[in-house]
Amino acid sequence: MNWLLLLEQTLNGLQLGTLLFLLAAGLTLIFGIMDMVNLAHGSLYMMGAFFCATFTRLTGNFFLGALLALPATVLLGIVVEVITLRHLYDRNHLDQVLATFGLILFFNEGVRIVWGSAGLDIPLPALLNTHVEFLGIPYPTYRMMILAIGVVVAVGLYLLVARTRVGMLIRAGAANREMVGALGVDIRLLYTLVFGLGAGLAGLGGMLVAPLSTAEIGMGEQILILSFVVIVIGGIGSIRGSLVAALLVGLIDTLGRAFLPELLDRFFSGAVASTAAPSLSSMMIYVIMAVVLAVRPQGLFPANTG
Amino acid sequence: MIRTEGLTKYFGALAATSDLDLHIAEGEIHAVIGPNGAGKTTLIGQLSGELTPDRGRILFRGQDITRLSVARRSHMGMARSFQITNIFLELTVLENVAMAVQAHAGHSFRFWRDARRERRLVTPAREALARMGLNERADVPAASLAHGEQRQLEIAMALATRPRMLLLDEPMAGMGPEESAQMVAMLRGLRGSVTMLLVEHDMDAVFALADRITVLVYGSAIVTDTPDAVRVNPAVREAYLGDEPADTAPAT
Amino acid sequence: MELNFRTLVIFLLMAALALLPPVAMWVDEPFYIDLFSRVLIHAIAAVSLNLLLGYGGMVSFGHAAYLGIGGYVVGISTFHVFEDGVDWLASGWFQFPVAAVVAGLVSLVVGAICLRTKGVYFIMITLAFGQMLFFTAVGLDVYGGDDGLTLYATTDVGRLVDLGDEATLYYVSFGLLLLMLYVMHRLVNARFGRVILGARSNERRMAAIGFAAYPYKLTAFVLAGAACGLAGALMANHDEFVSPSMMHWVKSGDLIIMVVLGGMGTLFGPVLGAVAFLFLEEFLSGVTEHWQIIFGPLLILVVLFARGGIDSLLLAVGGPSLSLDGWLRRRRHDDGHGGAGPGPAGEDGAGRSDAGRNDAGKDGAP
Repeated sequence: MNWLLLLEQTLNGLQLGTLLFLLAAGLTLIFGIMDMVNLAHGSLYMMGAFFCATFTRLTGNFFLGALLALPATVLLGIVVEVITLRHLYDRNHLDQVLATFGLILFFNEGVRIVWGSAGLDIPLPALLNTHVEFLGIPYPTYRMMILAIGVVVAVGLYLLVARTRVGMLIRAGAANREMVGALGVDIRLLYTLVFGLGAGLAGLGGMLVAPLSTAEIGMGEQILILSFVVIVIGGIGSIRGSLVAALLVGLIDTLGRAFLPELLDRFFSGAVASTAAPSLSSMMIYVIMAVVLAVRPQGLFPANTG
Repeated sequence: MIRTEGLTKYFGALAATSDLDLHIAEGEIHAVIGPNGAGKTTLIGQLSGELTPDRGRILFRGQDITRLSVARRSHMGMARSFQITNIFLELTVLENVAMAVQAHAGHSFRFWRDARRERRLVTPAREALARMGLNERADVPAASLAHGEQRQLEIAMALATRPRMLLLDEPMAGMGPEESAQMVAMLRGLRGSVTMLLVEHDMDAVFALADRITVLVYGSAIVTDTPDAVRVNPAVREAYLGDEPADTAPAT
Repeated sequence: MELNFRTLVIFLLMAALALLPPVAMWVDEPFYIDLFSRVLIHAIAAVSLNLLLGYGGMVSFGHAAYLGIGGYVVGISTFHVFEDGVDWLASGWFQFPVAAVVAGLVSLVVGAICLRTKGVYFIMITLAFGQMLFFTAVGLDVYGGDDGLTLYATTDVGRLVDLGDEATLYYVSFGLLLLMLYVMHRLVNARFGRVILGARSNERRMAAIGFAAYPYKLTAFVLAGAACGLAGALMANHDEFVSPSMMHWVKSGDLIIMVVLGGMGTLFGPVLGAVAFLFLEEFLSGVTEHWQIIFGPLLILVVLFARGGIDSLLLAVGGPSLSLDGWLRRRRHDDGHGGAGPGPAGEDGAGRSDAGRNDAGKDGAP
């Protein structure tokens, strides 16, 4: 057993978990408070990446690019919320699924028109293109930064939800939506804020991942489905649940892909292992989700009480 | 007919049902009354199978049904009407009752024959409607019934399953005095043929119908006795904060 | 059926579909046979989904997986005919039933797990399972993986019927569609259909009167999956190609759109929806290669304003029906819907039932 590889993959798993958490937290908030299924969440992730790529190119500086891209994504999210999503809160889930599906088509095609079909690369700034020593192995600084940002966001969200008035409204809304409205809170403003927050988190995720892979069309959907799995496992409406589940899913997925082929190779013939391994790796997360749902249909940390 | 032993149900730290021993004899009309929050709906929930008690047992005709599903209990002879009208709004009145009949007329893995023409379903359904005086409205969508008629439909559906025991959760809810009187007469007509557990706020109805009354306060039974005895019981008066049990409490 | 505008339109549509191939040949535009074969095949898939979604209120977001499974049964069988010389695999007597059976078995397993959930959980878990099957197909390197698998021959259904011939395939598809519509008609009005409708309308009530909905829903899931598998087998023959994209969740979304667009829970709705969807796709992509940027917002507008789909629009446009009293009024609807006539676009969607919510009658009420 290659311990260094294990450590490295564990860190990678946590890093993936961080990205998933950024997306899942927004999704779960939006679902928990507005009872809204938003398939277009991944599109905001994608837009974050593309905005960052564009602003980086324009300013020549990654940090500046990211700094500009974040409010841009939040603004985009708010615009989308006001124009379309706002009208869907009262609708049933099927309507929301269909409408946000339409949004996905719109965004994907829009990106294709503006930026073309090929993706955009963001080169890592020299400052971050280094390695740090962690427990004896060199690990990319940039990935380490993602982990750090994840911690900051998690702590920040915790403080927001547990310690502020807005956070209290969020928690109340997740537990019992009708009551919050009945208490005379400006629901529309709360919803817009929550959506903006979710959009910001998604965009942040997108711009963080872009230098690692590329900003491309369809990147949102792939991670969106994984995020759904995360919030189903974690419990819809629970940020804590989405954190735990995101890290879990990130770890399982990464470690699975890294070590499953090797494991299969030991027990099965080469041909079988090489055919089955990639599929099984992809499937593993869904198997976990199925198991969780069979045992605990409300997820690990259900938030809904009303 | 039905008995609970030490029935307890918690919601968080609150005991909605607290070590309840209830005994309902076959053929009787047994009313459960109590101030708001006494746990009446929770009780019905546990008896019908929608809620699982944390402690205690429920015995129905001698059998332990505590863990049985709602549908299973229906097949054992338990039927329920809901406090908030819970019918099939998109179907017609006849279809609503026919559905109840169908549930107890063999299995429904039949894919070919038109169920709307099956006499085995339609005839009993029409009979049940006639008994409730709803036969004129048979082909009307259930959603367009008046509130009182919808409550009647609730009962018709419950009766269509030929139950031995009827759990009636505030059947008079939202009804005016005339409709309530009709409902009381109808229920009185069923006495003997079906055992009834009646949860109700309408005290006129309770005292007109009940053979025995259990008074529930904070999840426990403080009194189980005949209506006359309950009426004069000081503990009951205190529980209702001085309300005269003979007054008509507003149906909530 | 009542005689009204809607019925007329549907009748004309079906007649037009029946006559399409000879007409297309006559005006020397055989392309239309190809296009409408696709429409018919998608209509079959949409009809199968309609049982779940339209009548049953189960928003299955992974239904396209069964299209893929049916297609891959055909594809893999044909592959082995040529690769390993196993001739009997080419037979339609093998491929079609096996496509249905395999799709049915997979949907049995998937449904058994998914149907333990409700509401949005159900949507997401069906989506996830669909993706899982998608990745499985991508992982099948032997059978082309991501690039897909070309079929060197169509299914052998005897000397008289050549599925490689456009018109023949068209009529086989049309025949299957008619059969499925008839089966659906009987199913919905039979006891089984009643239970499915009741479970959508008020599952809590169903339990109270003695129906455990799960076995019935699961049966519907399997029936729908098997039927969709058949559609997939036809699709493989039509395209002479199978690929994982048949199972992609976007495809599942397309099927849902077809069902909703046409009118959920109506008999011919899925046919209307398939026609409208593929027409729109053809038309818009002729206008611009970026047609999806129009289609997306269009979909949103439909959801917001025309929820009952084309079917309800036809009913609304048609005005009062020319029904003969008495006899015709008794045979009100052919598809188990209570209530009559033009009405507001119905809210037939799956209700928001998270476990724990006790709002009676709120789920799925029109």
